[in-house]
Amino acid sequence: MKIINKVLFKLHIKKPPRPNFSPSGILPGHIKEVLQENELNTDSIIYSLKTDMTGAEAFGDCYIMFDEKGLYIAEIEEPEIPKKKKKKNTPPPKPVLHKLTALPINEIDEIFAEQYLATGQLTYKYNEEYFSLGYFSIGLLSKADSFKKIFNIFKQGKDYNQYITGDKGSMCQKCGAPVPPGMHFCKDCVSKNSTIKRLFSFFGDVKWKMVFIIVFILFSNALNLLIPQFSTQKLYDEVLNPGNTLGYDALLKGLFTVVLSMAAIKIFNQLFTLVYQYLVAGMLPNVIYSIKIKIFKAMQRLSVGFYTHKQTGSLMERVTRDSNNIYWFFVDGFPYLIGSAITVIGIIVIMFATSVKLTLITLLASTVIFVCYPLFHKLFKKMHHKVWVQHSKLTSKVSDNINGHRIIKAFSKEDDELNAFTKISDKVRDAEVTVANAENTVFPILSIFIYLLGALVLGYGGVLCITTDELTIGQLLTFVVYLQMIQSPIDFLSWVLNWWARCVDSAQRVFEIMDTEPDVKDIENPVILESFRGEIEINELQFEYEPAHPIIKNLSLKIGEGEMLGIVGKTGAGKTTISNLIARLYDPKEGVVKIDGYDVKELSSKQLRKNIGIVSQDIFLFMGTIADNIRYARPDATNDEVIAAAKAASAHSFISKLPDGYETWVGSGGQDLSGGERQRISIARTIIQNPKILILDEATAAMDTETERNIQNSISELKSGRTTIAIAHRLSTLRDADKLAVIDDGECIEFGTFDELMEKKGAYYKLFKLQEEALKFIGIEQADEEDEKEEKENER
Amino acid sequence: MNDNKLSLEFLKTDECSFSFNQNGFLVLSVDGESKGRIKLIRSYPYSLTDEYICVHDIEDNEIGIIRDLKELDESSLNCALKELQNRYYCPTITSVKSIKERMGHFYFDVVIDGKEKSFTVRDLTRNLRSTNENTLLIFDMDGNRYIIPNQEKIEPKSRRLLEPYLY
Repeated sequence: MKIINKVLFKLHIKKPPRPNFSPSGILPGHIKEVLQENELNTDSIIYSLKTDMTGAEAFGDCYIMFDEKGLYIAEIEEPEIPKKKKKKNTPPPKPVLHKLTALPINEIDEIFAEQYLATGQLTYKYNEEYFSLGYFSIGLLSKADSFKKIFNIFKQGKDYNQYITGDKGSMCQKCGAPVPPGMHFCKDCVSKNSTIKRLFSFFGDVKWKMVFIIVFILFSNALNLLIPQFSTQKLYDEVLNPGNTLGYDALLKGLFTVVLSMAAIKIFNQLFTLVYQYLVAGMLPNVIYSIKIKIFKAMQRLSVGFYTHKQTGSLMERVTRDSNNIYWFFVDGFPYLIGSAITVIGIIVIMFATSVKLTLITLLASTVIFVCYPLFHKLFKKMHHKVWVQHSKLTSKVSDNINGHRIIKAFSKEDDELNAFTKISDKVRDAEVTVANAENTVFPILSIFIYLLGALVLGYGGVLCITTDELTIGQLLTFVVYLQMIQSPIDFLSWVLNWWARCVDSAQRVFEIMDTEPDVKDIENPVILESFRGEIEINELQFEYEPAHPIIKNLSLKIGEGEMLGIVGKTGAGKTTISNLIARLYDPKEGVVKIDGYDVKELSSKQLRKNIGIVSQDIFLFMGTIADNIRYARPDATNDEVIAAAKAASAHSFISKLPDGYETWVGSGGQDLSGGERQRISIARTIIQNPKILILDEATAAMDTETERNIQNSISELKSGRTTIAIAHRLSTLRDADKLAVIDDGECIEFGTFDELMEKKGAYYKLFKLQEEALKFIGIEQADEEDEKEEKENER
Repeated sequence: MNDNKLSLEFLKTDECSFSFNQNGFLVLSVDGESKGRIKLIRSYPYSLTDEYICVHDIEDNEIGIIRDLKELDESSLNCALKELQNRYYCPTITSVKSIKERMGHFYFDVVIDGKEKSFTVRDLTRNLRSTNENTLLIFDMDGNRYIIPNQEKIEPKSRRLLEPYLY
């Protein structure tokens, strides 16, 4: 972060927005000036769009804007603001207007935003003819779409003001610069070390333990450094020295002192090691536990949209592998890193104290190693990455194969799959062989070099010993021992950076989850309803999963308390999206969903979802017993209630026939249940929830007629006293609906009672007749009629 | 052996004539009958860029498929190629200057058409995609798409910068 940013941040002063940054749809001041100089009255501009292309393949700034008289296209070159100003008080460079085109407003009927691969085009229609307005990068599609919408509303003479939000987009919280959506800080304001700081913040609660650990590591390694002083120098110079004139007793005493000192140092060294290892082992699992809980908590907070954009594997990796990467670095790497650093520094100091000349020669020769090691490690890092890539491809292949085993068998593709697997395995083997060969070549060469370095030191030291008094034989041998001792920590320090990089890399992925803001979140003080009635009102609803791909276009519906609404329509018409919006799994782009008179955004999402039960066609059973799954929404439900709910869902009959009854293990690795059985368990789960609003999204789509009939009966029981929305393809399942809505291409094209719609002879009538004929063709109607006769007779 | 091979009907290229209207939009006439403004869509955008081209009308209804654009007459071929070039234009990265990582966001400084450009990418496993043809696709946080047509042929420095992030 730049110094000025740091100062402003410390003083809690926000930097003013950059000059070319203005709220969406509003012209920036410096552009207004240029346009006014060219006699365009910018005060009357209603809305504007800044695009980044001046042609189909040409990048350049372009402003498209309109007022009550016309639409204007201005190609303006905005000079980049230099990062460093040469002189103070130099005015920023002025934008240059290259081209200004004006189109009379009455010669534009409607604007369209078309999407291509990486670009988009704004076009307009006049007298059934299309004309081009300009191009833009696909990232601006959403803005172009807003521009199109506001212009078209303006042309229709409707109120467009509510759509001009003046949205400033996401801004850096430190310097005010624009940042991509979902980010809080710009690149300049995010410290390089922020991840490291945050990583260490996990250890905030155990900082005193950390201090103790570091002190103990310090002691342990310092003691380790003393060992050669006794085991070599003292032993050779004071005990084993042939020129010694001391008596036998004195020599024996000296020998004992050396041996005892060595033993004492080793015992204390091991004691300190034991203590710090004990402290580390006790502390880290707790830290990692808290990291895992934080990631999982953050994941639960996120909206459905987040999960649909991420691969399950990538999310699982964050909870398991990434937190483990952090764990292993701090368990294994961190203590050894401190120990190695202390050892290297300590040995160099001792070496200098022993012989300056010999140390300088050693360091000079070592520079070759210091230069070579990073180079080799860079090379190996690349090779290891390639191995990792091939390994991950192999893992994906295995996972794909296991998940698709039924299809593989059905198509008899075992041999092809084996061949594909062999090809990837070959690549893994080749990559691993390359790494092994490289390691087996490079490291022996380095070892020889280190060995030669030792020989050089020994030779030069020997010369110093023999020709001068600068070095004793004990000192020389101690020096060689230290030289051997320093090898391993230097080796470790040279590759610990990779390990640290992997740990930081994992930490970044962990923080990404923690930093993501959920798309759907409660307002500060959400409304908590005293009693939930279940009245639903949808007004002018619009929704899209991807920009410019509307799923719900303009939908309005009203469902009274305790009523049943049947929704019908083609696949992809937007039926499921409506139920997602009522349950507030997503927020609409425009319009409002009201429950009991309140916008769902104002309601507490916890209360809302407690009162909305969804039975969808995607049935998911969690790992656990059938009883656990049924009481998922209400863990305190009694065993009586569980059986009662299962009976109501027509599930009891099959559950009681299972050997383990309600304690049958289901979910991943559990009992294999049929689609109908799983669906009935999910209905029982919703029954026990006792929601005020019940959404049945193709709940019986995958059932045979008999099961469907059973489930229909249970649903009929279930919907009494609650608002029900039933989405179905088969119109027969909606026979009890109070109202019916036909959805087509995101719009409600028909709404009314069954009789009203049949009388209208519109879309519903056509669908009904079509299905009736199809059923007649397969002879189902007859069976239905016979059933009905039987039912009536039974009733009598 | 089953002789019931699947067959696909293609547009008769000798009856198709593509041209640009006065407003610069591609129009088609089949056997003299005008189909109005049309869209061309590649079925295999990376491997077979000029083959299996779907022709849609402005309402997105398919008119037919052209097996190979080369079967068209020269004037139609040029118009169709120009249209596809516009529709499938993707900023091509010629060189990567730097890739910086901050808080899980990757800041790319690249050169496109001789001009420097910066963009941010999140979640590299999802947004850095290699195709079978060695093409590298990069998607930034705004939804923009960039392409490196052949990652093997990009200059060595750029490849070195990209390599650690390729999966």
